[in-house]
Amino acid sequence: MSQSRLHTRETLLSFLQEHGVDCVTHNHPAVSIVEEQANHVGHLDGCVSKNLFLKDKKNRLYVVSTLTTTQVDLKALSARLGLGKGGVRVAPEESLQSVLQVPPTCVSPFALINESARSVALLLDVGFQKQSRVFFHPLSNDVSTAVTTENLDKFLKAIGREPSYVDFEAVVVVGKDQPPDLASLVPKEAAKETESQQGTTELKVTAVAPATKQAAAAPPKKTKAVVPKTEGVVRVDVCSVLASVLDDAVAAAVAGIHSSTLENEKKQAVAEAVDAAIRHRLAPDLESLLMTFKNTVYAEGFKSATESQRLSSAR
Amino acid sequence: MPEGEVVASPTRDDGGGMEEEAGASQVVTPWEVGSKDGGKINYDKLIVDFGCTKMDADTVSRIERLTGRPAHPFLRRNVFFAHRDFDKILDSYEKGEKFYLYTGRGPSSESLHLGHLVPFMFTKYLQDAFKVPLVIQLTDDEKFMWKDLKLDEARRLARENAKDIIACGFDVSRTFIFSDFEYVGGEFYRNMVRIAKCVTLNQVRGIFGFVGEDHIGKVMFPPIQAAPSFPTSFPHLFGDANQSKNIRCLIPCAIDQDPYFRMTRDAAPRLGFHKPALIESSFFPALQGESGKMSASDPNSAIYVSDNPKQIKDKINKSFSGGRDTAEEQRKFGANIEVDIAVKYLGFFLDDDKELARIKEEYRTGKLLTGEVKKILIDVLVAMVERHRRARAAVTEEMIDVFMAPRPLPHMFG
Repeated sequence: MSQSRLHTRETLLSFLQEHGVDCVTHNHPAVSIVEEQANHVGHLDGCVSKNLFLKDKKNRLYVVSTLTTTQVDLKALSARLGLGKGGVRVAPEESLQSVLQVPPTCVSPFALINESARSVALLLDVGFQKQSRVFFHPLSNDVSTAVTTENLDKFLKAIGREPSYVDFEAVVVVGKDQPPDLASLVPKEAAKETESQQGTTELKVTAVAPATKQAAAAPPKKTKAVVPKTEGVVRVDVCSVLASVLDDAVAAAVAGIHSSTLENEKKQAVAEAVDAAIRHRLAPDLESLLMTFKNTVYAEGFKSATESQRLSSAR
Repeated sequence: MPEGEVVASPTRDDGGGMEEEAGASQVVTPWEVGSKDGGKINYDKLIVDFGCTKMDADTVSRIERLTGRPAHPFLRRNVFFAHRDFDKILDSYEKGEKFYLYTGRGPSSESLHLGHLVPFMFTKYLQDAFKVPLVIQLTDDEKFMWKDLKLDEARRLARENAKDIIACGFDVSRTFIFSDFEYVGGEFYRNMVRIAKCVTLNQVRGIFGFVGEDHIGKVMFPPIQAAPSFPTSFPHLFGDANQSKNIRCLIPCAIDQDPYFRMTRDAAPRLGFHKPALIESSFFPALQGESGKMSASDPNSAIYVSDNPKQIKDKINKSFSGGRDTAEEQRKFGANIEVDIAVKYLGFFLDDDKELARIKEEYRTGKLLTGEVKKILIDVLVAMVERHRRARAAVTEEMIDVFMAPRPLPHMFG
């Protein structure tokens, strides 16, 4: 165990201050679950996070840090990391103690400040970027520290890491022709654990919001989904498709402009004009078109389904 | 909305309420909107009279933070300027609780004008920004009761209007459109009767101005418009009382509907429901100016979604202007942008805040002429109406059937 730089809450907070990481810290009674933490800081500016500590079959470790409302499907995550099905599980308590060196309730990106956690991968919820601030425990569960994503990134860079934001709820097909999209985030080496582990028994780390679907779907006072969610259905979100098409259109147009024979200053001006035109003029029409498309396809499917039901009951 | 003599009385809920004073300087009810001296509506006074809350800049910033996108121009420019309990909706949303949107239309005519589109455009923004479901009530029964319409014609108009509504860009996987004549029954009807039991004849006389000669269909109607405020009215969407007890309702509407929903909010707690929250808009100006009234009988009072570019151009060119009579005077003295209709319409439909500010300043100081401002507006409106027309043309009977089919919406939240 590298005792040399075992951090405490105080040393972490000094580290943050030294590196210009703006944060707001609140003390409260010790909390062991996300719901309790939310009770104490839910009214303040910032969102509570849930943090999972995972291990794969080759003993590589991951901290997965998300909004409490984000669903993390471990099977899907495992596929996207290129680890096949069921490749990641909740890490046993021994790994927590020997590598992260924090109590089970304090898993957070801040825990990676310890030297021993050097080879633990960190996956952050892209949803954090939309929040004003996010709360994490700074190595101690009677404190919650809120940071903006810019400052979180600053902290991570200060400990020699590149922040990686992942859309956990995106449905990504992984197959022969589609490589796992998160494979680059898998650590190069297994974490060096100083205490021997007893196989990969799945100890329930009760304090951190467990990785079961129910807990993942239930931040403090949320009601359970009334209508059951169908698994594996591809969601079509017109807003994100629109953003993606606009980005592609702008990129294509700008590439075309840059490969033309205009002078460079003219190229820049034209590129900017085209960017603005596509985003402002094209966007409303394209959005309307995409929604029409979605509604039409849904309607056709619905009709088809009701017809086929009618036919099968007529037989 | 029902029409009749305007008599309003203070209601029990939420304080405020219209007082029937001889000296009331402005009248705002579901049937009549106007200032006695023909001037502008004083919205601040209205908020005080009704007892609702003004929308402030902090709340707008909070909405931007929670939804992760810029606020709709209607919020930034104070079109949706008042609310009841909207902050409770935001608090509950932040905690991960759910709410749904409820809005409606009385299908009295074939064509919608831009003023009709405003609440639907804003509702679409709310649906996209908060990722929540929406129910839209087509009150074909109300129109049949109040207007000289055959019943089947009312039902037909409901479907026609549904096309324009769908063309506004609502997401079928999150939206349920229903007509009263098709949907009323089951748990919806049971809620109607529960609501009806909470409201006395005297109250509806006060709120809606019913008199002895009115047919009883009119008296029957208010609970029908109240029922969609309660989630159990839609068991296929939200389940039973236990399953839906933490689901709130937000109603975007024009502020003249406020007296109406006060009745609903009054009944809600007695029935064990959350009071529906409201977010309210000011009135869309008629082309002839503030003192004019938009009316179906005068096609020049409004721009319709069925107008062609030439009609739009002619109507805008004839619209009430705050500019001077001659170009020289305009350049010298500038325009009165407070009363200019073209500027007001740009305030609704020109998204770019900087561009709008530039136009207003240059028009006010005389740098821009009236014709130039009107041309900018015409271009904006023609593009908007054309987009709507195209979307409407793509709405099939099948699509309407699906929007109106009571079906579960498994992905309606998030």
